[in-house]
Amino acid sequence: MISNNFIKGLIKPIILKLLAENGKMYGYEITRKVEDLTEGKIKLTFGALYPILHKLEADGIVGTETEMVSNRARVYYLLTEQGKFSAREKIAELEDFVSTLSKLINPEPGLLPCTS
Amino acid sequence: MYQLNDEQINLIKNEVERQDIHLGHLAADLLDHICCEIEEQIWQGQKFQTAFNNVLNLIGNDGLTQIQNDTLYLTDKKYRTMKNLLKIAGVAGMALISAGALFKIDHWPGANVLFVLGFFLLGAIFFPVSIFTIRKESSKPESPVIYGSALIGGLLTIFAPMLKVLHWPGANLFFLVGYALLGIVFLPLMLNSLLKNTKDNFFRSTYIVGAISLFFCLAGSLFKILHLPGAFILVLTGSLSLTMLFLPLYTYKVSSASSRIPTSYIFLVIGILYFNLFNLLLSIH
Repeated sequence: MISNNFIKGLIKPIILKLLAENGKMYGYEITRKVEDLTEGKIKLTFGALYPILHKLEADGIVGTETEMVSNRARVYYLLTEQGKFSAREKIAELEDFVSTLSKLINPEPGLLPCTS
Repeated sequence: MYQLNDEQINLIKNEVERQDIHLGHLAADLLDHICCEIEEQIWQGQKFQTAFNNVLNLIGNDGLTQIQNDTLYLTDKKYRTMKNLLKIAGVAGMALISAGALFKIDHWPGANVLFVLGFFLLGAIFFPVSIFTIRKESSKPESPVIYGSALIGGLLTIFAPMLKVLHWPGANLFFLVGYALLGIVFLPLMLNSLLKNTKDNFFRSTYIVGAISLFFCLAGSLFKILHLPGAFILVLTGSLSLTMLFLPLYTYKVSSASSRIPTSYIFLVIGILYFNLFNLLLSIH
């Protein structure tokens, strides 16, 4: 399980990437998808997910559609036109962050300190 | 996949409503999320009640309310500013008053300045901002008269001890008008609103006992300030009925309604303890 401190700033780009790939998704579906894709190493809690989804909605990045499923309302989230552009930017930023972090943790051989 | 029936969905809906979730479509989000979690656990072999309890434990006490407040914090700039101001003014105000008390005890210079700054932060910033945030977090805001009387009455009773400590004139007048506003305007209106919004007769009776007890305490304090006879009896009756009648009745009802203790209950107990201590000391003095 990955510590919440690492995940905190990454929730927004993770959600945007999932919505960009899957079209519309509902809250629980997002948490399950993240858990499945990361083999249970990243778990999005209610508390972390919904404030960010609502913030994205307030900023016009995602829109919502409500459907009645099994006698209850289900709110689906989907990227708006503005959101698609924003998602591309955030995903590129995330990829850049991951590759930078990877370089930092696993430096190329030429950059390794001389041990002998 | 197992699908919850209407009765089971209603049980979950009651929990969402109990935590006063009203912001946009958050209630629908949370209801569906909890239902999905429970359905998943039932599919894996759990019984409904066990799965429901597991999810409730995962959410924690007032966890849904916390999610709503976090959502409001992220989406509403005004609320965010107020919340930050509340934290800064609360901590700084208490620190300045504590420092002022220390300076006063040791007869160091600057005690009065620290007291004035501390009470100003608590009274003029912390208290009004906390009323604003309570109003913002509530699904059914009370009438402006209730907030107004709480604000003015509260401000006067916060500033009155400051005037008293600094030996400035007007302390008694502040106490008098403040207590009168709280006792005659705020308390009856608040009780009326609580009775309107509560269907449970046991809770309604408990609120009436609480309001009468508080009224006795406030009346006793007013009598004390005006040097009228019977102040101690009034405060003692009010404090005793608050602790020996209202609190046990309320505790019984809260514990029978849910196995988990709400955060508001803990604040209520601490508030009653401090209120009683302050009033008893004032009336004995």
